[in-house]
Amino acid sequence: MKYNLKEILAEIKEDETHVVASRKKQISQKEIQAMVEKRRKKVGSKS
Amino acid sequence: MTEKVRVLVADDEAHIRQLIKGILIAMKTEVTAEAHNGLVALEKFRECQPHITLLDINMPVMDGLQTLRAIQKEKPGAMVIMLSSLATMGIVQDCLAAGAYDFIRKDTAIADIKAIIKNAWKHYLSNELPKK
Repeated sequence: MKYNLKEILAEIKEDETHVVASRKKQISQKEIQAMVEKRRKKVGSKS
Repeated sequence: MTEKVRVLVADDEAHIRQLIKGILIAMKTEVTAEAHNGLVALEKFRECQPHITLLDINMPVMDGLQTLRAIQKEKPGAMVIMLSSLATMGIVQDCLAAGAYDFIRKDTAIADIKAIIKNAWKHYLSNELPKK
């Protein structure tokens, strides 16, 4: 299997752009509560 | 529940502090202190040891996230709820990772704000009472 470094780098850049864009996205209180619940479950399962 | 909930409200906008105070008073909680910037909030936190702290994100001198980190460093697990007019996924993630218990958008319905504060108080009691 041949790897194309250019394509891999382009894919990484696209992923990064997606992550940055999603971090900047405005979210509703409902979405915040979902994030809060998810975080609590994650923290709860670790303790 | 005989003990009154002591709350610290930090926001640089006086009308927002007033609005939050109105909600808290209606919930029979005690607004122990108010602060107009993060640094004053940190001082009031040390002085008053509130049960719940409501922190605005965008404040002068020291922003809400910096204040949250400073509070958590001094008192890990302190009950802090963040307030903001705008909420991006990134800032919510950063606040939760820094130890915020919850996050309230300021345009949220009053009933929902009350529910979040009540939930925080219930959580505080369930964690604190067994230790006494």
